[in-house]
Amino acid sequence: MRSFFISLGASILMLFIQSTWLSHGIIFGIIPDLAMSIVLFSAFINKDGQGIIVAFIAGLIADMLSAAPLGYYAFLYVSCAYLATLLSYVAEKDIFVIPFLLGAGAAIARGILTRLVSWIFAANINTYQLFSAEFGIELLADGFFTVLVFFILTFFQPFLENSPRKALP
Amino acid sequence: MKNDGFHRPSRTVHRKAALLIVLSLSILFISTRTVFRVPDLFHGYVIGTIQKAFAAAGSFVSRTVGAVSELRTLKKDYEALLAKTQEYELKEREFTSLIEENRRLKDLLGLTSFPDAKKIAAHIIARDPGNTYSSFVIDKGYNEGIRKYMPVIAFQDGVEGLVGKIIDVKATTSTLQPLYDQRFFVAARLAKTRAEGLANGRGFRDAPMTLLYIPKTEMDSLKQGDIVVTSGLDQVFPQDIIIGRVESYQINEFSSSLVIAVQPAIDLSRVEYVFAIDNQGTLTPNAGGNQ
Repeated sequence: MRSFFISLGASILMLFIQSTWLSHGIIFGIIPDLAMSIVLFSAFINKDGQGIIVAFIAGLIADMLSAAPLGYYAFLYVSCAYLATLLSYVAEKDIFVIPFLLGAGAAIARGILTRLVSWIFAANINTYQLFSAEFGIELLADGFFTVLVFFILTFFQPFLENSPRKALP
Repeated sequence: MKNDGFHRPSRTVHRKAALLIVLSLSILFISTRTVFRVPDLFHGYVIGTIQKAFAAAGSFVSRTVGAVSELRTLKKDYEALLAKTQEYELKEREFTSLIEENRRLKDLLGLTSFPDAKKIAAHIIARDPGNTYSSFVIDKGYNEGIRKYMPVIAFQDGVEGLVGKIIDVKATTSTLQPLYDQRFFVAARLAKTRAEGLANGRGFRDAPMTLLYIPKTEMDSLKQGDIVVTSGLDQVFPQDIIIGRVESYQINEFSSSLVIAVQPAIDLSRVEYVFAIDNQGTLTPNAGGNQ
């Protein structure tokens, strides 16, 4: 339970930082989704689905901070966290490749899912322009920042892991 | 493959994910039809207060760091300013006479910027945490007289230009939709020829807006740098607010109109303070009612 609240608190903190201190963007006006990186980390190391619940609540908070309709980010975060949890069953966490794939893959998943959501709910749904330069930059930024976030969070993994004993061989 | 005993995800994981995905989509379904509203107490006060606190903390740190480096350049700037002061004294005399002349000409033509409108100054304290939506949060809400669909302008480098419109109002904060948002539309016209069209954001701060439905017959008189202003026909924005300047245009062979790229007059990456225009009384009674 403690790890749940720590993961949730860290991701919410990142959302507020994204909307204030990083609001002008880091690279070409693009804001890296650091909250998503934390959610992905939590989902990847907690195979019992704890990260998915963290993603849902963090997503709802993101919806409140955004002009997006309630449920938009919750859906995107839960879907990406679910994919990260599934990936954790077939891949080991390393220092670069898996975090980068998770970050960049989550950006691609968001791009596709926003299209899907806009088809279902026509009103007030913004979508990613998948073949724009801006989306490419966001994809790379999310990939690299997820590598950085994973590297930092590895030092705090015992606080973010639901049952650390399960990770032992 | 891992050898820690977790070869396949358990049913619980699938169930949790399925439940939360369905729940998210249900909330989205309800919220896009505005059946459900987040309790205003939480959304309006708690979120707004936290955002204000973060903005204040960020501002404090950046100002403190900035002040240290600023001291180095202050002396040099001071000397340069002394020299410039003399120059400006001369210019001021000329400027005063121009203001007087401008005022007289405006009176003659009956033109003043929003004569009956009240302008509510506000500070941008936060922006959207993601990249698909591009809202700004300002530190004024319905307690200060902000209302939904109020036009928002800003002054930058001597230019008064359009910033966007208010789309959500809480007690002490409001959300504004900037003109580069992909769901932002404004009735516009070319200031020189008065040809009317519809300007639309493209979703990115640095990307120009698109001005549509300007007839091809305007092509001969259209030049790069031409000013685009609001036409007022959408009943939301007062007319003749500067939107931006023509950057380029495309001719579609099978269309009767041009596709014009418009560079916004206000650089929204640098905007800190904005003015919401309380144009009640300057527009028709059902202004903004159909938005």
